Amino acid sequence: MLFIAVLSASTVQAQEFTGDVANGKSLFNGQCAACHKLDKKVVGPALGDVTTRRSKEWLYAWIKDNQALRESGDADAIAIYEEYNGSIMPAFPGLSDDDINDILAYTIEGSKPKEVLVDPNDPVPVVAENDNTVLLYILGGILIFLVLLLTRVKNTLKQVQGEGVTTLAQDANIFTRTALKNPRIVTVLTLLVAVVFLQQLYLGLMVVNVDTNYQPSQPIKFSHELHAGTNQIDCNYCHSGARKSKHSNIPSANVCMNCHMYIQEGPKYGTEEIAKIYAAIGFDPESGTYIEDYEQKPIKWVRIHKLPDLAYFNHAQHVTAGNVECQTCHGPIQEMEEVYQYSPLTMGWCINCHRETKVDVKSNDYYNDMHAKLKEKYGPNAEITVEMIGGLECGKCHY
Amino acid sequence: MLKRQLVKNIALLLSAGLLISSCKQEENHRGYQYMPDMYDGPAIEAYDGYDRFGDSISSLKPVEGTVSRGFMSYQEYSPDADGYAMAKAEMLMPDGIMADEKTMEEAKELYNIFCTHCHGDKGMGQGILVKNEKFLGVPSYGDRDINFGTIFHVITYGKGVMGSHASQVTPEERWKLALYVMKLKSDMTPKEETTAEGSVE
Repeated sequence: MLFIAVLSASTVQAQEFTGDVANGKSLFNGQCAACHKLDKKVVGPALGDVTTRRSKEWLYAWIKDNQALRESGDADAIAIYEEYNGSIMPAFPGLSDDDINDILAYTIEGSKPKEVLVDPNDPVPVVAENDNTVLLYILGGILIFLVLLLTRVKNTLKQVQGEGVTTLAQDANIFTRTALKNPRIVTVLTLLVAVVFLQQLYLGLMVVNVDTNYQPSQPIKFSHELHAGTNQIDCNYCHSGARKSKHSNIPSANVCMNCHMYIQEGPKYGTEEIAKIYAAIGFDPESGTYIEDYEQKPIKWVRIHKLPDLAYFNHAQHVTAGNVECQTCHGPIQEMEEVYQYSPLTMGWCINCHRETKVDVKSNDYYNDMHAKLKEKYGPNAEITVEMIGGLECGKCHY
Repeated sequence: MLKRQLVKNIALLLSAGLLISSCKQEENHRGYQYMPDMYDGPAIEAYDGYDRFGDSISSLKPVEGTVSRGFMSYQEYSPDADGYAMAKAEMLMPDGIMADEKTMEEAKELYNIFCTHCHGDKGMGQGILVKNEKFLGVPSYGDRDINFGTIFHVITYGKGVMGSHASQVTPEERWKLALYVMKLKSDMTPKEETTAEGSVE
């Protein structure tokens, strides 16, 4: 930075900006950062080296009222206006000379390479997982050791009594022979095996077609924990179709770009994962523009929740008419780094919820007519469940 | 002989049990289905892969020039600064949209879904993304010279680092949002002398 400053000192006189950097930073973040970054072109040019490019007086005039400066015929002002295709920077008559001085001091100070105390590229310390396998191995080892020890003890005792010595394998053989000759032991053993087998068979058949905990790897490591949890973006912001349509749509890349045109680096994977959106849609983060004639490729997200073709489900019906929270079916999405299927999505699960869920008939116009009839049928104070308004009719979901 | 048969049977049962119980859910594998033909019908669903179209998307883009029902033309207002100025000068709230209680409630809900995380629930530019320093420099509605026309224009085309939200909110919803934003702005104005500048909500 200093090197560049020295070089360019030949074009613009070396300038001193001794302002309050802290105040400059807060002013910059509040007033300028929507369109400018220090190190990168966003809507307007990068400002880290602006003091080496322009004179102090010119900057004052431009920041306070750039339109007036352009109209006065200043060649530089007109050139930069045309370079950015006539996008207008608002005038800032409210900023005093001192304020501008502070901001400019911050542009110099803020773009100096920072002394990094903790290297952000360092791998995150891996937390030791609670893994039981090691413990099991240790236990198994102790048991084998005990068996060997006891065999030694037994043989020593036999030798003392003057009897013949048998090896471990011979012992086992004799034991098995004796046991298998005993019909009781055989019966108990067979029963045990049969019970375990039937139980496993039952459990195995019950999970066929139930995809609970299905957690496929996605093409982009998108974190719902970060977006919906930490940053509290409403589910409906991206899945804007859930309020109006049968499907809760997967957001198209233009919705990602609403934020990621500006936010080009994530806290966990840096630029790597966000770059995949740019590769799909054809965005050049360096210049902040879309590449012309780019062959866009769809991002192939892997579908997680899938109802069979024989069942009808409508998101809008549940989200808009029923006021059901997304989390009721999808679980704690705002805590999921990678999304998995939380609910079994079986028919029993649907039916159970329709039996238990109370319909909020009062604050919803949709139920006005229906409510009057229901009051006649079930009494004025009855709590209306989904079942009572036909939520268990076969034809509601299967037709 | 009998014993050996028994041992064999037990071994067979055990391995069969193991085989069945191994059909459990794995992370990257959806698991098995009883009758796939009933689960995946021949009709093409949204978000199914469909190889007959070039890039294997089942939901195709509408033919170019398709006009959806109830569409309001907005072509005379270009996305650039000229269009913005034009929208500011001449665009008016359509007759059908009134600032009654029901509309404002709906508008508030829309605002909380689509705007709050940056602009803040009071429109001061202090949303959670600004507080988390993801986005910086989101202006307060109170500091900007805006009207219904400019709000509609900005939601439709975006401005500065704000992207176009046209694919997420319909024109009617945009007008409702414009009503709500102007309400937030007017709520802010009389308090400006008492509240220190930059203070949060």
